Amino acid sequence: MSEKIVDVEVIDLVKRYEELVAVDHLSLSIEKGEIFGLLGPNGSGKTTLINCILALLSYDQGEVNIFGKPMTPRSYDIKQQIGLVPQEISVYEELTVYDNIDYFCGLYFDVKRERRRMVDEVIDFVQLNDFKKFHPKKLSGGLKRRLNLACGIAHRPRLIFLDEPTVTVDPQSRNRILEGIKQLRDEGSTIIYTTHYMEEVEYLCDRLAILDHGKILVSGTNEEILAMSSISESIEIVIYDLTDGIIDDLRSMPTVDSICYKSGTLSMAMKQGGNNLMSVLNLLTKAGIEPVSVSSKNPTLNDVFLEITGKELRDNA
Amino acid sequence: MLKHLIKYNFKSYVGNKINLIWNFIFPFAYITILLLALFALTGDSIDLEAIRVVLVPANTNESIESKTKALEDFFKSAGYEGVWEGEELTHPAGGEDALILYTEANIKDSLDWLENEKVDAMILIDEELSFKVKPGTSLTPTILHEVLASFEKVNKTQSTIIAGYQDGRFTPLSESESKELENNRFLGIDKTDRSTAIYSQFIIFFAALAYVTYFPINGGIDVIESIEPSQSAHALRKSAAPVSKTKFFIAALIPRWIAHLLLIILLFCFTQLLRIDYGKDYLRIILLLILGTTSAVFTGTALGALLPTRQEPKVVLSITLPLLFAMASGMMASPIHTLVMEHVPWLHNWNPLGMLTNGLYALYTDSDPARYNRQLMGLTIFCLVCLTLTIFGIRRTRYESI
Repeated sequence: MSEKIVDVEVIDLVKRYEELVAVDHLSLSIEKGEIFGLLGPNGSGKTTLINCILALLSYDQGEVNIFGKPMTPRSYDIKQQIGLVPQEISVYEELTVYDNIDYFCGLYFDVKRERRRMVDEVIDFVQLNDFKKFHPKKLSGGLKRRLNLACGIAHRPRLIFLDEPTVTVDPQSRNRILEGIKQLRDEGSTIIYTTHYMEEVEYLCDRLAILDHGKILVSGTNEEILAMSSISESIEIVIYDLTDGIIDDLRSMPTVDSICYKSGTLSMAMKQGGNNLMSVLNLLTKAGIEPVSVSSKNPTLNDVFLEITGKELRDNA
Repeated sequence: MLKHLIKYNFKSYVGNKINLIWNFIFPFAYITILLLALFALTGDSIDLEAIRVVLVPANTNESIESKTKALEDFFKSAGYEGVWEGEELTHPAGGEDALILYTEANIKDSLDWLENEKVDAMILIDEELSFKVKPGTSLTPTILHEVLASFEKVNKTQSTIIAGYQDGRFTPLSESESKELENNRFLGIDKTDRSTAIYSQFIIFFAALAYVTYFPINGGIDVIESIEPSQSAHALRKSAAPVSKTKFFIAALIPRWIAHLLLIILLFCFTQLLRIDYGKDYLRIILLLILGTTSAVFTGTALGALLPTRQEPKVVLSITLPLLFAMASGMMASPIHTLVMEHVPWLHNWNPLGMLTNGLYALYTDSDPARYNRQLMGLTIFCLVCLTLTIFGIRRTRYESI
């Protein structure tokens, strides 16, 4: 079995702002070629963590290695291979789409001819060909987001930090951006992705971590994190001629946690484990009962996120 | 790399419409409006007809005769004694630009001339001055009223001063006191070798020119905003790139600095087109203006680096600081400069606009070159202090240090 290459390694990182511990003994490793989701409520330490990884912020304790080397403010060889797409659209309103991308790409590549090719390619990649000479203020929100993305990836970075790149965009642009991110991963880039949209994480990320109060609460693949939850599948069946005997049979199933039959609706909360619905339907079929309607709801990442981080509002003082 | 950065910094700075209006168009508009307001009445474009005045001493007392003589002398600063050509009072040869033509006569002839519109007004010289104008004129009484009020004021001041010296209340200044005053004051300096008289308006104009020279503080603030990750999203994105902060600083500074230097030189040429005469030592004037603009840019970078906050407080400072300095230099009223010099010496000594105004004035009056050199030295030190503060401010940030 081949050993996996770690692109980003954070070891026991601590960052304090006076009394506030923004990052609290956090350790993390991100493998080459994966999309790693970073989730957490507002103020959980995501941005501070990213700024520490990028050496934009100094930290009190710990170690950050990128591509196997320590990351410092002057690690220009590492920075050369990093792309950053901040949440705030950070393009110049006075420059055209082409000039904006050329400017940011020029921070990494000095050779004009090579840069021109890269700019053309990324414009093609984010489908802004028709807007090359437009100024950003003439672009819609979705197009601006695509430009913001293009400025961060034009130099073909090996490691890309994407901070909520789909905020306030329409479904079409979002879809285009998400497809693009997958394509970047498929082409070999490692991506660190922060967002509040759980469905994006479920769709995109190979692995993810949920942060709160500067600590990683859980990390792993989608399935691993869902499996850690105490929330389980719930089943509702509309059924009219259910006898007490059948209800007892259903209750005695090993995966059933609780059961309730009222006004022709059977509600069941299941314990952990898959294929619960099929087992229930098999039992009913054997008893010669035909359900009117059946619905099953599995826990989502959103349910797990709220379970782990709590439901109280975080932006309140 | 640096060329690439400078090119796009220049493009984005000059392409910013707010910058363009605020930093580039406003100074021209301001100077133009100020010029119109200050110099319109003394400029060539105003063509006033000479006012024909007849002076009528009320009696032959010595004091009235003396007052009549004093008034004639006063009128000579803006006019001539008229000569009669036939029935018409006209100016003498070479006196075509006269604002006032005067002559002396008795009251009977005067009233007759006034009635027949041979003169525009008659002034009766008694203990108090009074005048009568020909019917149907509106401008003449206004001008005469102002002229005579000025005459009375000058006359009384002169009498008070003479009386003061006679009874020992006033003593003449010592030589060193006179020199000190001459070096620093703005009003009333007699420079007879200048082709034009020195008006206090010139001091206001110098302070105003210094104000627009010191205007681009915003440009300096913008430099820091563009490189400090805590101040803008652009800077955050750029900080992740393999380029040093020093390089970003230089690349952001050069285009803004050069744009403003070019602007101030253009503004100087513009005032030359408007025929504003502030001396012929063009190179020294331009050097002073360049240093003034440099001090403004570095004031901005120092503010930006020392106030790592959001934009609002810095915008407020970038507007109020030049105004405060300009006021202390005499832009609103020239005597304020002297008041500040006497009562707030630290502001006088460290006010870059004061140095600029003093420098321009020193060149205008062709006074001791040491005075001009002192202002140049002061501005250089001011720039260096601001640059040091800027570097300190950038270094002390929690982000990458330069």
